[in-house]
Amino acid sequence: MTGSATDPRGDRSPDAPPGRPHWVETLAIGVFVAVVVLVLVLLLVGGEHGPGMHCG
Amino acid sequence: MMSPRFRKLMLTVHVAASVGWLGAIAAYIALNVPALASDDEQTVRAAYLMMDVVMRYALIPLAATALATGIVQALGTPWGLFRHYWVTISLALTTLAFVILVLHLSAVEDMATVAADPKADVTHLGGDLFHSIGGLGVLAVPLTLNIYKPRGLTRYGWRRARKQLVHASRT
Repeated sequence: MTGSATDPRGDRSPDAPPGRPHWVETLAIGVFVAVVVLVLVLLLVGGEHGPGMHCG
Repeated sequence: MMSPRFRKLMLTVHVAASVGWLGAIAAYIALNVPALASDDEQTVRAAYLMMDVVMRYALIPLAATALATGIVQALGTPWGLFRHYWVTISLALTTLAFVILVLHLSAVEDMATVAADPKADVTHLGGDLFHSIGGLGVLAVPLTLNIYKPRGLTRYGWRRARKQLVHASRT
């Protein structure tokens, strides 16, 4: 049921821990871009939004 | 580890609650249509009142159930919570969505209070599409990860797998 313990990059020694899979890096970049776009949109539109609005 | 029967029960509840959560978000987005576009004031007020009801009695209970059963599933099976990237990322995003949902309840409650006051002006409320579409976008990631289960052990998962391998080779 568990996934394979093999390193997706394949060129490490068997004793070295595996690197991050490519899909994790791609997802992280996607999330980063989405957050930057969101912040830019909120700044440009000027909406009164932030974590503080949820606590009032 | 969970017994196979309990694991299947948990999986059934988890899938039902997760799909129900997505469905409740769809209903919440649908309520934003009359809230933002209707010319009839009573319809607009009713939409805001129903957004509070959907949030309180569908979104939050379903989200809590999906999160709790997901954690039970992970802990009670060899997947674990922090052994595989797809499980850890799913947990992080689902927890984030749940926390924002709960924190956002007071804002939705405020909109419903304004809508319930016949003297109050509801034209300035502005709907709640930002959070609902954002929530749907965030939940699309764990949904995809849970179906595809992409490979990739975390460092912790790799250490655990090695320990088990060493243990198995000694016995």
